[in-house]
Amino acid sequence: MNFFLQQLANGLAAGSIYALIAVGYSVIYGALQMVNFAHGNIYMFGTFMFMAVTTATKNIFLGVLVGVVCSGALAMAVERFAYRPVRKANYLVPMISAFGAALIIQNICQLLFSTRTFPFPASVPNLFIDIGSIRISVYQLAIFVVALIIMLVITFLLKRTRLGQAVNCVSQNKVSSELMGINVNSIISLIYCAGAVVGVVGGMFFALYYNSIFIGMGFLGTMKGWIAAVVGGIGNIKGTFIAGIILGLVEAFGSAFISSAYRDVISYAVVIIVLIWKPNGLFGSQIAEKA
Amino acid sequence: MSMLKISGLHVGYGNIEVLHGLNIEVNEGELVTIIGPNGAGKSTLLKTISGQLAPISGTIEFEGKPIQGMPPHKIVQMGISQCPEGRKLFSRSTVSENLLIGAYIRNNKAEAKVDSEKYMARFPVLGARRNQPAGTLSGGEQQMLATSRAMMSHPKIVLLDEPSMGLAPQLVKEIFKMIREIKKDGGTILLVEQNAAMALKIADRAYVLETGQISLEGKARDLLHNDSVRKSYLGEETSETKLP
Repeated sequence: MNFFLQQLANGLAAGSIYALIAVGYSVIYGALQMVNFAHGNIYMFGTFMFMAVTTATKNIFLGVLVGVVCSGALAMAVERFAYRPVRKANYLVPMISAFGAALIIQNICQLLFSTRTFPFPASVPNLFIDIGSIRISVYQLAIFVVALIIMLVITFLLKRTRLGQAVNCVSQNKVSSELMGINVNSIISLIYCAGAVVGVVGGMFFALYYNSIFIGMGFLGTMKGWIAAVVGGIGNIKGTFIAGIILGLVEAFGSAFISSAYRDVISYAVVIIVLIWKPNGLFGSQIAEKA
Repeated sequence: MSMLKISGLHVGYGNIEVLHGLNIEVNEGELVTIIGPNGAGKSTLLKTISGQLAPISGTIEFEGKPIQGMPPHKIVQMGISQCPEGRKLFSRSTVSENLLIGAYIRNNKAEAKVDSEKYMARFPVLGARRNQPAGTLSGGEQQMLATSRAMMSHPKIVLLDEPSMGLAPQLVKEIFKMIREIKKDGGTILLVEQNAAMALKIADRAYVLETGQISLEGKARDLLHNDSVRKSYLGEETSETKLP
């Protein structure tokens, strides 16, 4: 029982990280039907900036703030210079453009920080809560709670606010949105910013949880985040979040009860099974509409 | 002073010029129509007014201020609303959501809600389908919704692009009745139509646009009785077209 709950906590924490990274993808895809292939490197850059500032100032809160701001700003810059000029081109063009942007960001990071793997820049006290004989780590719980709050905030923004109304319109018809008085360019810019901000929170938690920050973390998190987004039904925020958590749990229990060597094999097997059963993802929808 | 004044407007796509120096005026409270054949540049003209296209040269003045080349959302905020060709509704959103988004630039959401109820009462078919996605409506219902949506921002002038396109005669009548109501309520309208007979009957003034140039302009009533208009656009037989 103890062991089971411990794995549950592990799975929830890892799953929350996947979920955050995946929601970053999903927000953008849901609104713009565009896969932001630079997403991984954008939050990787933000995590490095977080590390640099935290190390320099010894102030983790300032570091988090700078990391979030840098990610958001970088995403807006990528949108402005890599995506907007080719927005009306064939969908393959922005994809190539995204890869280009991703490579440039990665190389800048290498130039600034080398290819070393860095530890998490601050010492986080490893507190535990003991419930009877069960011991749950505080930061594992914190990761899950923060991820949940972020997901709820995004859902609220999209469903209940004027901004969400605008995002919904832009996702359906950009021309009509302009004619309603919506500033489409700034909404798109904001969507990329939001995706990156959610992503970098995932990135910083990744750094905390695995105690490592390295150039390849963008790609690594991207693979898992992407799986969660597809399994959950890409574009569906709630579905993506739940799929991220499921992925984390499957990995945790798979490692514990089968073998940690098969961890990735187990998660990919789950993806394949889900997609055979539900090709649109667990929460993806098919929409009938008259043109 | 005219509300909307277009002078020497040249517009093109890439190297191809489509509009060759148009001069058009719309006064407050007027219903002006632009008729003409397919490909004359009618929709291009409306797209330029609403800011989706930037002109090569020429000016568009709205209440004395130049607006050419401004982004569309700014132009909407100035009080110019366009109901685009082919409706372009938000097809996954419901009927009532589509109406409310029409009031996006208005700050008072409670008033907008009241207005949306007014339109759903005016068109009971829309009211009955208020929670249905707009994409599931018939063509006529979509046009009613799109026109209502364009009015939801309380525009000073509304640009209507081919509202009768693809509709059954009965629905065309319904749409034109609505346009007349907008005018009666003091609205200013620039109506682009291929259905010249209907358009000329309800308009105050008219322009005939042919291959990017105004070939004829005047009181709508006069154009309705003009021989060349009757021959080309009203489908009437004259001595020239009559078969032996």
